[in-house]
Amino acid sequence: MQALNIEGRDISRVFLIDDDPSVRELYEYHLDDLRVDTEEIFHISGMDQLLNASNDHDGFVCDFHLNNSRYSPINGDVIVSSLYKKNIPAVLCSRDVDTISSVRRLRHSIPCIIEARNLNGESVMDAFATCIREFSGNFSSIRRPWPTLIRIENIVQESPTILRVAVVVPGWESQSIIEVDISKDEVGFCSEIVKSIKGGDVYRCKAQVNLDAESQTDIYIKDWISI
Amino acid sequence: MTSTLAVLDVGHGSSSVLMSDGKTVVIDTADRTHLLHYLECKGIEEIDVVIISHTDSDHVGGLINILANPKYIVRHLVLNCDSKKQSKLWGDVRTLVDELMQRGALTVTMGVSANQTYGWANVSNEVSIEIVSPTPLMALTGAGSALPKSSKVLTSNSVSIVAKVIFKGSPVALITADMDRLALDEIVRSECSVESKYLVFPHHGGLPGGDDPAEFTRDLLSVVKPESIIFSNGRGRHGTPRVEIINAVKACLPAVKIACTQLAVKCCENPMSRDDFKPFVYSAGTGSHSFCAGTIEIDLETGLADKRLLQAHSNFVSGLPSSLCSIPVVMIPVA
Repeated sequence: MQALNIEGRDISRVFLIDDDPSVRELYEYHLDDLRVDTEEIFHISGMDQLLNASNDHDGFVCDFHLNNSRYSPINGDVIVSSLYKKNIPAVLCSRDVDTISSVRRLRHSIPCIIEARNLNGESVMDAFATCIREFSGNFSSIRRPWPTLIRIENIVQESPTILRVAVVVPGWESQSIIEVDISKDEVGFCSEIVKSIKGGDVYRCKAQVNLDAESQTDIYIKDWISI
Repeated sequence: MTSTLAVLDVGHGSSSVLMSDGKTVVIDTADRTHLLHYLECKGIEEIDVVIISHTDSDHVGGLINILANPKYIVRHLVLNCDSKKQSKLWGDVRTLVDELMQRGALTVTMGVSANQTYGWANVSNEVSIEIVSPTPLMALTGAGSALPKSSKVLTSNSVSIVAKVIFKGSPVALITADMDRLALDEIVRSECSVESKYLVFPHHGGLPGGDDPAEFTRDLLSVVKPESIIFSNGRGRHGTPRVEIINAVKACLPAVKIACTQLAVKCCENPMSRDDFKPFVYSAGTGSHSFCAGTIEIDLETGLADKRLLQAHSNFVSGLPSSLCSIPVVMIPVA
């Protein structure tokens, strides 16, 4: 086996994450033409396990739905996002685009989502290259973050930790409603949002958004700040 | 170039950037990030004046991204309050404007109209701006109401701020936003001179608010008397510029020079590779090969755009199978 040089970084091993062993085997089959070592993850205890087991020369292919709690306590979006924040390239596999709304909270640190049917050596190489470029601050135009105003129009769902809201990004598309989850731990003004919406008003704040995104599925919203 | 006027290729929408003696004036901001990309390309981070013609998102949407971005400083904002359309969008603008004004970072002129004197309109010793519409009567009436003795209600398009750019005392360009027949009739009634070498055609070459497009075009050209007309259009959006408008232009002013920022679908159904020419500055249609002239930068001293751009545009248009304008485009100097 060999190491792949992607954007100046040698990748010599790709970890495969899915709760279904047959899908992990399928990933392995699809990546065969890359001629790098692949290694199945048979069980996940937490992020520490993955971070301790990996180094700068690794990449990850990770399914989104890791529903079998015996396999993993965390879903694929959290895993890929956490790896990205440690500068480890990772691609999220999604078998259905419906995952996009729930993933959007972490989408800024999930550059590439590949549908399982499109997974192959080339698409994974491209995804890793995108990650590595972003680690050095080199964003493609559709991923570049810009400061802008966010208009929160409705609360879709509320849990003790997450507020799912319907927002408009008027500096992107003034007619499009986007659903996004806000972490109450990360955004300190959730109670003000709730109060405003329940009072019949919209709530306006600022955030960073990739305003050159071509489709709603690619939009991410991060670094929320109140006005 | 010390004084320039750029009509940006923003797709469907409008944004023009006037630069003179270190000052920068933006007339409409289009939507999304088009203006930001152009400013970045030119190394501009301070804008002395932003004029917003009216509240449509293709004219004002980009203002949100400028005002929310701490990298950019906008010193003065000129606009007419108009909450008739897109009220939530207007609320978004209002929120950001209020925040900046509270911090003392922005001053605002509201409710501008023709026949008034404004300090911000003197851009430099050479360049100034004259507001020619709305007339004071229109501004006093406002969108949503009808002018006296008229049954037609003014829309936000009707009360668009129309700006005339003047260089060394001579009118160079009339930037018309989405002005319609009601605005044109008022301009004529007020006897305000709108003659200009360049006309940035109203409403991207789309319908002029219920009036016959050809008749509107004839009447507009009879008062502006332009030598060159620019359509700020988006390929595939709203079918602009409309065929009847281009035909009326050619019938009224056979020698007029026409340039569209993007290639109209009616001129060429499929996008054409433009390996022969790449715009020097940001043009929204570059990546998708949908630009025609692209962003047009006019040197106000000579009245000309860059010769290479003009030549490339002229060659491109003459090679199209069904070009609407079908006139070699060579902008002539301002006298």
